Amino acid sequence: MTASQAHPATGTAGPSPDAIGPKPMPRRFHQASWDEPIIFELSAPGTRGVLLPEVEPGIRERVGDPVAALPVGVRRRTPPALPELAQIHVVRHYTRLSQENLGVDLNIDVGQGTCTMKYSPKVNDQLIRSPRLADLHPLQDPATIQGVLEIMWRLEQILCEISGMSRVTLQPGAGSAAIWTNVSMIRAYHAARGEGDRRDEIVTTMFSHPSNAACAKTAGFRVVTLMPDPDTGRPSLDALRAAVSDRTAALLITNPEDTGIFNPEIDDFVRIVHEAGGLCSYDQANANGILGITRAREAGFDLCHFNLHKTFSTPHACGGPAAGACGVTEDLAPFLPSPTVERDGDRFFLDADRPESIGKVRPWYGVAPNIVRAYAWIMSLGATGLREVAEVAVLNNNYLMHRVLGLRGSSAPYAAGKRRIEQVRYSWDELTRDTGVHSEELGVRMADFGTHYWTSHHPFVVPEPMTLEPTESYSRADLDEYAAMLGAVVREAYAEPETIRTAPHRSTVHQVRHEWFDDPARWAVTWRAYCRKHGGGGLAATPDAGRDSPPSSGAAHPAAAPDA
Amino acid sequence: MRDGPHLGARPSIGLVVNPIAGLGGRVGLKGTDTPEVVARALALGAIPQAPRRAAETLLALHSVVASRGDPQPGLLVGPGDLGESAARLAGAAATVVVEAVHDGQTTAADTRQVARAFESAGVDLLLFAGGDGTARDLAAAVDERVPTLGIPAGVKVQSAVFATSPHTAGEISAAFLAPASRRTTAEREVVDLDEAAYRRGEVAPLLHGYLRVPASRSIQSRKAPTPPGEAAAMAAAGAEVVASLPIGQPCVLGPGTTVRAVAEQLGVPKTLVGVDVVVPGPGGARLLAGDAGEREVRAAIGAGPVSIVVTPIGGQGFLFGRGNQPIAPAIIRAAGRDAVIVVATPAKLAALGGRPLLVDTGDAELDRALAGFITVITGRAERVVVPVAPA
Amino acid sequence: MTDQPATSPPAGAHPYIPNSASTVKAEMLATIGARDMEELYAEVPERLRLRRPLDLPAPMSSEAELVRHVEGLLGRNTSTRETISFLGAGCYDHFVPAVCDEINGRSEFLTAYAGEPYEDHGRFQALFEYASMMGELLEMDIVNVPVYDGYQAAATALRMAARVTGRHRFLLTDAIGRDKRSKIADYVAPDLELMSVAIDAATGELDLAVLEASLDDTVAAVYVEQPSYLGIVETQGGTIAQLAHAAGALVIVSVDPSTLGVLAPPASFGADIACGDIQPLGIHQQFGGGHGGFIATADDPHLVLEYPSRLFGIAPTLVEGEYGFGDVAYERTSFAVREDGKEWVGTASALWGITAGVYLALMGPQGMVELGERMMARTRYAMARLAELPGVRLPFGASHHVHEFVLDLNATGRTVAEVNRALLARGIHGGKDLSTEFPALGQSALVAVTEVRSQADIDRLAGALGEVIR
Repeated sequence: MTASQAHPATGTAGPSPDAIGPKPMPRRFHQASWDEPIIFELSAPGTRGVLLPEVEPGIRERVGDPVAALPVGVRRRTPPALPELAQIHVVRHYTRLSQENLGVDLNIDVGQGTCTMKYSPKVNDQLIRSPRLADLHPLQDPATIQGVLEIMWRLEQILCEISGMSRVTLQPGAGSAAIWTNVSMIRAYHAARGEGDRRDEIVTTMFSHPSNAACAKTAGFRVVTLMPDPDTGRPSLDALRAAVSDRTAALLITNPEDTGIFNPEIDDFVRIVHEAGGLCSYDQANANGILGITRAREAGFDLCHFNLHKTFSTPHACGGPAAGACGVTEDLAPFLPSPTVERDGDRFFLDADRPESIGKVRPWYGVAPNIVRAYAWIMSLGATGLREVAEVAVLNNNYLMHRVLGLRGSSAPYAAGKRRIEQVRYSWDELTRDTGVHSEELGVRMADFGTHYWTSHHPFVVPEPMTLEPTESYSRADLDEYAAMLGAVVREAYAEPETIRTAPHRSTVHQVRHEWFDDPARWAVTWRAYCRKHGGGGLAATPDAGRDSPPSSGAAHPAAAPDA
Repeated sequence: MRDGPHLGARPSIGLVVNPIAGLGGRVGLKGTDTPEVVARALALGAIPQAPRRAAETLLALHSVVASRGDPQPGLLVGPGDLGESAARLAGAAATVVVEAVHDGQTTAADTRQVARAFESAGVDLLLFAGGDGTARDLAAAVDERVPTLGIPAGVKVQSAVFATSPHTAGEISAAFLAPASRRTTAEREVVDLDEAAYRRGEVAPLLHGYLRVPASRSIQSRKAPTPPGEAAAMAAAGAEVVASLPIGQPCVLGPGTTVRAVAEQLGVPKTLVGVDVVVPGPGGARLLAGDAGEREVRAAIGAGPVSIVVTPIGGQGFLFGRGNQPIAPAIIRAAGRDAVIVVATPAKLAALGGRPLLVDTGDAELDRALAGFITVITGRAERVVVPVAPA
Repeated sequence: MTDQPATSPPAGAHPYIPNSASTVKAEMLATIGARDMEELYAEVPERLRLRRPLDLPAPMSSEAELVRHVEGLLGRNTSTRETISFLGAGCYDHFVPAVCDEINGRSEFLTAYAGEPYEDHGRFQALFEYASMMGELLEMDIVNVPVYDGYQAAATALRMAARVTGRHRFLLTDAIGRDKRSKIADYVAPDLELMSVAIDAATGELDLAVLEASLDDTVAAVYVEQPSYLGIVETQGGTIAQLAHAAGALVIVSVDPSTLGVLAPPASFGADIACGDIQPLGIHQQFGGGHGGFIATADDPHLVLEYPSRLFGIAPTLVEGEYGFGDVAYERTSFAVREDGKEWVGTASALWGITAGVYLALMGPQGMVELGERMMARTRYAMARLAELPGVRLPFGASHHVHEFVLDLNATGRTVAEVNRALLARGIHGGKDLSTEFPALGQSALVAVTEVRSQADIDRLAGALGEVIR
């Protein structure tokens, strides 16, 4: 919007000499930066943040002091050295820390490719705060929890339809946990057929999430990884045939993969593995662009999984809590984690009588608040809404790709000239050859504009990678603004790379001295370890007068005293 | 021979320039390894590039160090065109370590002498401007004893010891010598092409050795644990190979650091750039032939079953290359395709981006038989399927 | 699926999809030179295309209808605010301070994810502080960024011990929940072998004779819980550690952090790895959806090496006095000789970790001491009141408890299921029925008493139970 745009109400046109003027693009962002001490440094002896109910005299008279009866060595000798703060100071400290983040609510979060950083509707956050979800115990009599059981059952049915699978479990805590669950069921399936020892290999691909290989390996399988074809960007059928044998327990594959390239031969992949007696599990963490377009069932898969915190909008919460869902065919259903949610007329119940179940993959039944959020999100959209989600996500992605490929030094390797689905893995290889600036450095400089991006999993197959996934939540103006920020950083790479190498400049803090993290003598994962290794009192002397925080104790950690 | 200047607590750099490196490039000659080619290049009007590129590096280094407020490193240079002129171009103060030994054209021997002088003076980082040929000279002179970094200034720059540009070389040097730096280094291959073959249009890199090169810290991945470093990954892959070797059967070990990791697990010494033959036993292995040529290999493996362990060499990933490779076609045929064990770290394969590993045994039919897909051992319980193609 | 009244789909943009307005879409398609959306899906072959709409319930696109619908469903639940709960077994009804909900409700935290320790510095600092406060509770210098839950923490701790020692057998206390054991068994297969160590029938603590007889040089670790699943405080920790260490085995203790104001931390009696669940620290029960797992050790590189989860470290930045953070990412040099599979790292429970940090900061040292003391007092009172009832016994009454105990109803002639149904009719959730999980205990219940169970609540339970078993 320019200053010369006519005001809708007055109709006057053109800027006046006193006009404030338009905002520049990219904007003159600076992140909140509170220089906030570590909470231990804010400790003021004798203060309290919250009080507990006192024990009634009637109880005291009856039981005396049970703590005193604890044997020496069992009773804690000294109170834990936690910080002491008044309530307002806890609130202020954490509110300041909360400002020092860039999540979906604050930035055009298209840079965290494969994370599907879409809008998490606030109404769902409010709904889950109800005591009739937040204050339910999982062991309550089923008669008192029919509502949450019904929501779980309904979400399972919805995910069955979205995937085409016959049964769903919502027990896993997140995506990797769901992959684990599928791998465990695959293991149980073959063991039940007496083939557990023979089928000791799992096939996956280089562009799948590393958790596929990691879960398979942890479960005792040998992992065989397929490299992508250098032209198409996805493994060839010949490569698959070379990897599959009568030792193959399963194929774990993502489609589209992290490149955003759809594998049109996916059903052939499944057929080849089935012919060898293996199962096929579909990692559908990247489902956002294909909802209502194509399903696991029609491609022939035996298992699949979804991330509720990606495709289905539950918030990422700094890295969890999240939620995962696994879908299976009827053949795999006996192995589902226990208990399952069942319906009998208008009554819902938990069925733990499942002799072939793999058992538990986590406590209780699932991350209930996220199950409710996902359910509500889907219910607000319906089938046409989900189709719209997928189509706009794909349109946004291809539009952003058009903008990014217009920037100097960028490329989108593989599948030249073809569209992508919901994300793109770009390469800044040309820019790096031209300027010596690396992709990771560009990413850090983006923080100075109020955003960021993610490169890729390791090891890097695409050199100097950048993976962007717009989702359906961002507008065209958002995408243009993101491209403008990226463009500004690219121009700097060619014109003044030193600015990028010394970034960030307008973020919360400056470049971190990473070498500490590799050195056992210097690393410190807790404040007590830091004080022990580096002396107490923090990284600088603490002034007292004039600060609005309570005076720091300034004392070294008690355990850091030399003769402690 | 510590007769160099006392530089005190300041870090120091030794810069040696190969003044004729890259001379052939602009005039269409492929490399400048022999005096005859150099003469031809000069006759064609070629101008030395290396000193100017070295000067670019010095300027970048100076600028980055100054912007950080750190003390400038001390600079030692070779005499005349071997470094002194580059320092003058950059306006950098420098100390010449070795007196000029002769007039006229500099040779590889001069490069090596200067490098050894730097080592004796105790430099913290050795910079050289040149190409693969110069890298070979450095490897011969200092091996892996001094951290070394290449300023690309040659036509053939295939070795993994070069910065991407002269400017980047300056930045890497500055970062490496910074007070807070951990001075992490990594072993990197020095390869060079058989130039005569190269001029005929044939590409066949030979592994000549290794240099210890400043390595940037692997950047953390936020969504996954940091992958193991190269050494750990090699050890894991090596252990997995050992677990698959039949006891009592001769095994031919090709060159390369990943195969050396196999040898370490077996408890036998390994010729880094050559071929050894071992026989695994219950508690380790016995060396049958070390740094063997084709004849020694054939004698050592005898007539029965044999396995071959190789790792991809060079940026393009050559499994078997032409030339004086001791693992001759007859030996590969005798072993059979299934007895060829390829070992590599995941990072090495990822860098290929899906492009095939290359074979160039000298026997086209054998190359075709080796082509297809091969399962590479990349770690404990880890395999990667990679295409193989004739070069 | 069509039992809800249909609302017509919106004729225009959906609030969650800014670009769903048709004019914008057409312009964007034109910009990229695509004729229509089908062109963007050209790579999906026709045979794999779903050519019918998904059969889903009619949507509620207005927020008011959506709220009404979901609240209607939730309305069929009865919460523990309405019914007094004595349920525990790994999920506890502690008081959640308002500040905890305030901080984990802040969308700056709620919608952040995996940025760098620059633009997401706040998240790193909040998690470093959580780990630091847990470090004080546990008296250990290394605490991880939370894993999914306490079951995962225990299972991973076992695998870590296997990697460290190179051994593959584990001695697990019998006093462990069946669900947790199931998760552990699923997770450590096929590499690790689990063996049980009986508890003493009188004290409920670990039977040391059985432990000693079971220890040999194939055992990687001994695993116990503090308090045990049955609520009993283990007083023999020092001896257990001595026996284990003498055999070259590690000691893994799963500890309830809400008890660490009064109980000595596992490190004090020789535990090598402490683990557990942070749900009791300022996190609502949420039908079992509020869990996070911690793993803690000493700052020994051999142990640090084996963590599959993230460890956030503090470091200086280029500016003096400024804190920076990042992943402690020590090069994993032991792949060759140790147990493989460093498991994985994924999205887990970070915001619960931050919440637990807020809780510990609010409580402070004195608050945690009071929490433990007051739970112990209330629990001891409940045990005394209930044991007065005819036929009601405390099989481990002489042992120490903090917030949970076993109630034996065998002599009443009633089943726990019957009793709990009757209690529910009186507005009370009775303790967990242990009869299938621990058949040796017969008709017994696991009763939890936290700091918010008032004397009146407990008296009410005693009165109601007395009526029910009469």
